[in-house]
Amino acid sequence: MPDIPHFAWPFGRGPDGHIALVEQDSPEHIHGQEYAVVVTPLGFRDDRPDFGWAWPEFQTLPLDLAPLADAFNRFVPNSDENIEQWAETADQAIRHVRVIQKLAGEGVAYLSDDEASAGIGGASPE
Amino acid sequence: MAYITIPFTTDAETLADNAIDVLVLAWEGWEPNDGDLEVVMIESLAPMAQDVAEVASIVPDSIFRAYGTDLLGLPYQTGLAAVGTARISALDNAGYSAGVIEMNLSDVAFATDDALVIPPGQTSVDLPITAREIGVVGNGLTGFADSMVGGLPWLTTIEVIEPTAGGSDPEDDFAYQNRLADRLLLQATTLVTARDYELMAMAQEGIGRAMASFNQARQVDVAVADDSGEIVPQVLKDELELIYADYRQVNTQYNVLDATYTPIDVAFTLAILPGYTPQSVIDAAVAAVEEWLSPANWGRPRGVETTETLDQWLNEPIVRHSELERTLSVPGVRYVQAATLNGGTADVNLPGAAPLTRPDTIVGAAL
Repeated sequence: MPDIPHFAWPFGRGPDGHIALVEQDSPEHIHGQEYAVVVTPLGFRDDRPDFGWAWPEFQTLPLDLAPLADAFNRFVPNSDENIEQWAETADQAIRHVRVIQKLAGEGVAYLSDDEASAGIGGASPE
Repeated sequence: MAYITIPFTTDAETLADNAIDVLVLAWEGWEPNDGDLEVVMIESLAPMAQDVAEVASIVPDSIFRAYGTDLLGLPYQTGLAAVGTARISALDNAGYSAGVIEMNLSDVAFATDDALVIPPGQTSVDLPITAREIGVVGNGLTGFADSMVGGLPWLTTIEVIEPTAGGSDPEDDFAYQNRLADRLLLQATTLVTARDYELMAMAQEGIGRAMASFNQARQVDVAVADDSGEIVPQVLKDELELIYADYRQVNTQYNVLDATYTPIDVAFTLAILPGYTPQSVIDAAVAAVEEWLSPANWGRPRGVETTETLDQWLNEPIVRHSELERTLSVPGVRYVQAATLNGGTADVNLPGAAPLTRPDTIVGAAL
């Protein structure tokens, strides 16, 4: 068990059958916090309406990812990441967003503009 | 409006903060973050906890009403129909009869309580009438009513001269609660029956058993013992007498008595079923006899499952040999070969107005 435990993201059981935990400030922990930011549009949480980032619905391309970077700065204290985007070869309307976690390892989040327009849930970690 | 509302002074945010504080205390250095899954979970669960706490802080009126209907046996008033008297007149005095007359009085249906009979020589008769529907809607009505019965050409008028009255609506919850509250004001502590004296005694600390009996009018003897069936200290009995003096009915005399204890010897021989350890069965039988003869249990109803009667102390002045055999029938006993009470097989009579037994020498053996 970690010395200072937090639930792992996504929530689930670990190999030992217990709830999966991560060490505080570990890359896995920071990745989970970043994931929470990525999948949360502003105003989604009733008690923390400022949590998340402005959902990029109806944006023109390329996506403005500054709000996402700003959200990382505000909500993930140990985050130090690069965010980049690229268009899908077959369909330029689909944009992939990659979050590269510099601390250790790499956490990647994809976000396509057509999924984002459908609301929350358009992102998936890799 | 709730019957009882316990002040509830917290909210979901406070509950969430409390939960996070617990985690902070549990792990030194643990820091919450709005992106942490556990923080998200707490944030989601806190409103549920608030709902539960709010519900738990309210004792709804329905509980109070259930207390009245189920425990006090005070039913709802179902309402009454208005009543009155109708004068029913005929064309002439030839004498007429008909069944119950239905009528319409100011758009409220009434009917005569009895069949209509106008004796010969009379042109009218007064009959009691009752509204067909319950409620105050039937009150205060007078004047001529329209017959709702056809085929009575001789019937000329139906007149209600005095206003109808007595109708009342079914009681609603609010009215019932008010009446129940008034009813509770009438609840008083009184000592009337022998059981009242027993319950009052057992309500006092230090008294676990009580047996009251009216040996003659307005003369009650109350034997008391503690939870173990032993003698109650005199100071407690004096306090009980003072309480009786406060709550007794006028002119009722009472005596607070101690039990009379009689030691009982028991010896028995048992045949043991195969598969049982003889000594274990003997020990169980000895324990059963000791429990039976214990002053804490003597006179207590056996073989009943309701808690209502378990605190009763029945006056039992005889130690019956047949009951000894019943007691010895613990698991593993094939049959009772021999059993004696005080060295014999006869029943033992116990002296005193409130006899209790004590197990003295209990000896058992296996065949």
